[in-house]
Amino acid sequence: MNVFLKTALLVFFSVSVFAQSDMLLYNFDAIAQSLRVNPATPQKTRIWVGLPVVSGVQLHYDNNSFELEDIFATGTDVNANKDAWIMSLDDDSRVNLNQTLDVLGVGFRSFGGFVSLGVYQQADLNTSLPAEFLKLINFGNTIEENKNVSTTDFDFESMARTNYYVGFQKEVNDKLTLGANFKYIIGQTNTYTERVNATITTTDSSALYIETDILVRSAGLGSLEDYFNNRSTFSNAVFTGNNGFGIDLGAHYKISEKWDASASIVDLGFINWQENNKDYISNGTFLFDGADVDFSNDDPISSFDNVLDSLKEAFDFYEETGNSYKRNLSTKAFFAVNYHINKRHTFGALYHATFWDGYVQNDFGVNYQGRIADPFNIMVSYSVIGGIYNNIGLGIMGKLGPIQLYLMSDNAFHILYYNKLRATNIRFGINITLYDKKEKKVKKKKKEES
Amino acid sequence: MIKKLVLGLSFILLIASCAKDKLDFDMVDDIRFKPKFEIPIVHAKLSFLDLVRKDSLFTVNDDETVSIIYQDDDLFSMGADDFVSVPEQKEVTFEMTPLFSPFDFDMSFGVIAGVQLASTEIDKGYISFRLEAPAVFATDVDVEVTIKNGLINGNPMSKVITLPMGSLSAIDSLPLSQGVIDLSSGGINFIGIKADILNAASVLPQTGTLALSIKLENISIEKAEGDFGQRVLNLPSGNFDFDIQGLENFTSGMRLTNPIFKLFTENSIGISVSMDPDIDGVSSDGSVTSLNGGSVALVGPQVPGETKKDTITFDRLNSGIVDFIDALPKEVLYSGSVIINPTPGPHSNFLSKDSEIKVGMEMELPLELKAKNLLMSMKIKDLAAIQEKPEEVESVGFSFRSKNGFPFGVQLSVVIMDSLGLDSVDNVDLQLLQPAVVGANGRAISSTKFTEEVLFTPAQLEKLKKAKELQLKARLVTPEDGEKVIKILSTYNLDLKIAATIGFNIGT
Repeated sequence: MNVFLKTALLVFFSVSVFAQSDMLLYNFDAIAQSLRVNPATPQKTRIWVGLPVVSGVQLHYDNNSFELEDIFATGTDVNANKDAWIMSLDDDSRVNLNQTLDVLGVGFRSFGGFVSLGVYQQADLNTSLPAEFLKLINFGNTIEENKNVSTTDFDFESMARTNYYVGFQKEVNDKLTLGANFKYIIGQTNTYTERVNATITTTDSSALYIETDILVRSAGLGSLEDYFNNRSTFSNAVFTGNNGFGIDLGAHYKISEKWDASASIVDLGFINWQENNKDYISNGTFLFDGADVDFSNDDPISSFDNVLDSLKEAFDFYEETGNSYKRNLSTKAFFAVNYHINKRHTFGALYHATFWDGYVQNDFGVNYQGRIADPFNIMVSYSVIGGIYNNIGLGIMGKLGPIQLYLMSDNAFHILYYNKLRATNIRFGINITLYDKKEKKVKKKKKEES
Repeated sequence: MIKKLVLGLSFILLIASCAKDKLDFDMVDDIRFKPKFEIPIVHAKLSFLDLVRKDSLFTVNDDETVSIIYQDDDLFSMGADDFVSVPEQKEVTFEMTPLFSPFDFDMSFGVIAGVQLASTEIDKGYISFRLEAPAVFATDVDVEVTIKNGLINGNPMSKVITLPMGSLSAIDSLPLSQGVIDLSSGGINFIGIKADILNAASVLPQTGTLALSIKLENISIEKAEGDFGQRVLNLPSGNFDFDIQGLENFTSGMRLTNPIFKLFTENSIGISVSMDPDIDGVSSDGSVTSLNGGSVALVGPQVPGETKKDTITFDRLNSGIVDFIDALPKEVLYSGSVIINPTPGPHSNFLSKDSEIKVGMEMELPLELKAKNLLMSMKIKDLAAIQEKPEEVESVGFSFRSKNGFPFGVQLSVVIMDSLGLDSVDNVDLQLLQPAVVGANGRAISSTKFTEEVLFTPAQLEKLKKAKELQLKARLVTPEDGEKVIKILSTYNLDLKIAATIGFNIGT
């Protein structure tokens, strides 16, 4: 497997949607990972320890352009389905992938509040689909619609990073709790499109008029390449010189016994990408109407490769050492309101926004949070994620002594009923949790009384 | 609780199995991508000069017409020796006795029959003498031999030969370089000899006899005058390549209507000749076509030192040059004869050793032509675009867009050769170019735009996928079905765009 493919796979599979939803996690205060989306979420544990690697694994996927059934529905013509799907694409068609992996996490009560710290690795891939170019590839340039294809809105970004965080939350008073996470970030790799303006016009005389203004910037790919080529160590590939900082801010306000509200802003920050920078550039206009001919030669065109070479030259793609650059993190904002029917049953509503490069994704959801039994919590939600309406979420948490297991998904139904799947995420992990002695005594006393 | 879990799991499995039933992932194998791309392949911007720029034989004339000019400044030559060669001379012997000295003898200067030399300057050579006595003399015998009608550097042409006492023979020689002999004084090719025994009075015995033998040896002439006679000589024979690049792809069908063959002569020999050259063209198939130019008269210079230059032109009016060129000779053979002094004598001829009749040639082919079946061919050997993954190519077509400034049209036959490249298995014919509009004088006056599209049938495409190569055979036709004579100008150009339309069928 070549290095490029390895790198691509690493980026692809190490990856969170910039539009990562976390609609269930936000209100799932039974697990400490909820601090990740609101550092002010009141914690019930005295101490929690996230087991290395397995304490939190999260995967997210969404695309807004097709369901598996659109392509692979039994008894249909898959090629007709494919063609119909490609024809349905527009400038808003996107695919997002995201993955996080908790390397280590610890939380405990101290300094009059709750302290958390840890490390987690995160990778993201967010891309719009170049609808016109996909149509060109699928149908060719002989159909009228594809005589002139262009893209100006195409964007793509992939990123792999490691976050080292320290968080603290404090009950300001009986009603208000504030919290913050401070992150030091080391970026492993980033690739993004600064601009992709490309037009390919097929003229009436079969000539191709190509106009490009493309700048794709990247950092860190060289480190990964060196690692895969055994020219560098894993340590060098992970601990790069691409550094950044981030902060998460949160607030939780208890309006009354029945009502509370919370809000957070996550991933305010940036990464300076300054190691192994490479720019990929294409800039110019070119009219390609055929290769030159040498009529004095027996084989005047000499080779079809010459034609392809000429076409390649038309795009004039070249690579050069790039300058360092700064990329802001994809910031997310949450706002939630919860209504507690009693201590076991709560209904909530949540708004979530993701900001990335001028693009905003709005998610909405309502949920039910149930503490069915002491060691077993459940959460059910309905969300509209990225304009996708059929997201029914389910989260469960169970405890076996100090061992806490959890599993949740914002679109659990479609993980199973995947023929309609457009967006889903899944998060699971194992924590060790210890509760306050006082709370334990109360629990024990209640047990004895019963 | 367990019941609930089992129920829940069963529900999950039920849903999952429902999803599975609704999807058929095996269809991944059926996914095909069938784009059809129109790809520009060639844009040929071609002027006539682009076509011929590698061949210096093409010449653009002042009026922008174009000619192919093939020149050879030194096709062959005939030197002085060819006209007045000096053969081996005969030895002449005279008897002498001291008692009757001196003696006068006559001898002839040997030349080719019919040649009557007058003043002749010797370039090289000598005269050899041999004295022989049947019995020895008691004294030396000194014999002075003089060529009476010869001078060397203004002095008498003489030599003293001594037969030593007691010897039976003696030899000696006299170099004749720069010597001049007036061979007309006393006869034809006449040499007068005087032999004088200088010490005749003291020679003993007085009645002894001597034989004097004289021979001109290794004589070459510096200059000669006279009547060189009327004779027939063979012209030097030889050949030259006539392989003109640019015409080599024309296999038949073109007719150049105004070719001209010129012989350039430079004659510094004072002699008139009638030249009858035989000029034959040999085509690539071995057939021979004669120029049929006939004989031509060349008048020599009137005074020594002068060079007479002449140009002999063979054109469509006085020769078979049109047919000669029409046969597309690859090689030209030349030979023939020449009659010197073709008119009755006497003749006043002269020459020097460096004088010659030198013959050069020029074949001028003004590109004024008519073509009905002029074939050009080329091969396309790289079919990788179609043959690399033939199963992924579903259709192939080509479009040809032209703006033709040349006054001829082109019909193209795309011949699909078999997998060995030996036989054609199919062909596609199309009109590639329409001729430019041609004026009355044969010049194109405006370009013609033309578009042609061709689509290979499925059967042809299958053959194309297996073909070793494509042969493109173009047939050039001048207007009026090849009957109109057109002129090729250096300003003509062609703009030809070829695009391929390839339909793919690519699996996952």
